[in-house]
Amino acid sequence: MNSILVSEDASSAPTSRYRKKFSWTDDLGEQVLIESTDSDLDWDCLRASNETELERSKSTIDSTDAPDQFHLSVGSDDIASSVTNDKNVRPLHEAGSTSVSTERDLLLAQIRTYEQLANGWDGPDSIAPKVGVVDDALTVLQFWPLALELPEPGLCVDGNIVLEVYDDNGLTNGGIEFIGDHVGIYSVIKDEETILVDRFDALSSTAVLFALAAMHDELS
Amino acid sequence: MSGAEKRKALDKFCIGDISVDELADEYPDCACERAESPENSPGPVMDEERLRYFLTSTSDIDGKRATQLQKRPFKVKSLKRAFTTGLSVCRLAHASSDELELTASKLHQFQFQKNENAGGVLATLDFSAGLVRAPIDKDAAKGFCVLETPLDQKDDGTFERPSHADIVNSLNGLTDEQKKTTLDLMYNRMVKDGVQTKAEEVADCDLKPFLPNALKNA
Repeated sequence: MNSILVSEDASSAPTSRYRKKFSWTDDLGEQVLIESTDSDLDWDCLRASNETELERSKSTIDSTDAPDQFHLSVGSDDIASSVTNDKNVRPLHEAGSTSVSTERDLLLAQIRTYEQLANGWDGPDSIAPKVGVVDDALTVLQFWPLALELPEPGLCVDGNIVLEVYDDNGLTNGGIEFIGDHVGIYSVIKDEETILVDRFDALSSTAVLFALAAMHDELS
Repeated sequence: MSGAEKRKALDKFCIGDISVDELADEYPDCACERAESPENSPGPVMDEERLRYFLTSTSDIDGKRATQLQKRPFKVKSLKRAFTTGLSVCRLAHASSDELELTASKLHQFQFQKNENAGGVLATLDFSAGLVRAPIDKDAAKGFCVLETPLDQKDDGTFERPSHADIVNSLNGLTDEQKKTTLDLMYNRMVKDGVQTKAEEVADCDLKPFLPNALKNA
């Protein structure tokens, strides 16, 4: 079973007023279970670096689909038994590392500059970022697991934004591409083999976290 | 379909009248690699030919950090044009140093206009045509196509850039997922088997004038 603690662990979570459980079957036929210990949807886990991003996250993510404190697990095991205390898989904003935060802030700032690029930014055939892809990339970067190398962002000639992951030898391990309509494509590559590729809804924090968890599991 | 018809299709492709997808749809299996060669063009691209891709500092880079400019000039996203308008390369067996420098100057001019400090040519990546033509995985019949596409015909019928070629995707109807992993896998292959050289260290032509100012002044 794959598991990832995407927010605070159970012992440090605030007192719950109620608990929520979500389950569904993913594209691979695996059962996906999510247990929420949210207090009153205070969205602390979406502690965005500025209020605008936070407001966007609040307004675009369905509250029934986005618990703020949850443990995500894949498989048939009991949820309660799958809690992990692996601090390395905490989202980046909880890392508490100044150097990582600074580097992440630089990446966030870099992605924001893409909004200023118009058609023709890299030759007559290049087009401006597609609607929504900048916000999608910013949102996903907020959740980037500490255990994964920070991705390298980029704008593509077709208006997509990518968060590319590279290893120490300069080879790519895949990454995420935002192709518009809030669709993200994530892949995990090892050398010349595709380990994993799928798409997710970048507006659903659950889907974002699931994709990052899947990447984390394959790359760690 | 005759070689002449394929050449007409490539002419349309070169001026942007048809896309990579349309070309792959109408001429599957890299049929346009067998197009008739224009007069004054070197002829079809052979597998063993070395190709050069110029790596530039595009406008999406963080130009404020000069030290970052040459960190990774070749990225997966650099290959995107193989799915849109074609990835431009030079055929090293046929290109003079003048033609290589002309290509670099055109790229430099554009990037410099966009960003006077960071815009320019950073590096080159040399690789064989056969490397990108090889199937991307065991299920694929073909990799990319390498098309003979000389550019800028002059009044006398010769070309300013006779050694220009385009690398394009060979299959139409790929899903977004397939496109992403195709580029990921092709990137790794090119990094492993290609030769990347910093612009200032390229020996067969002088690329120093085309470096970004940020590097010239560093």
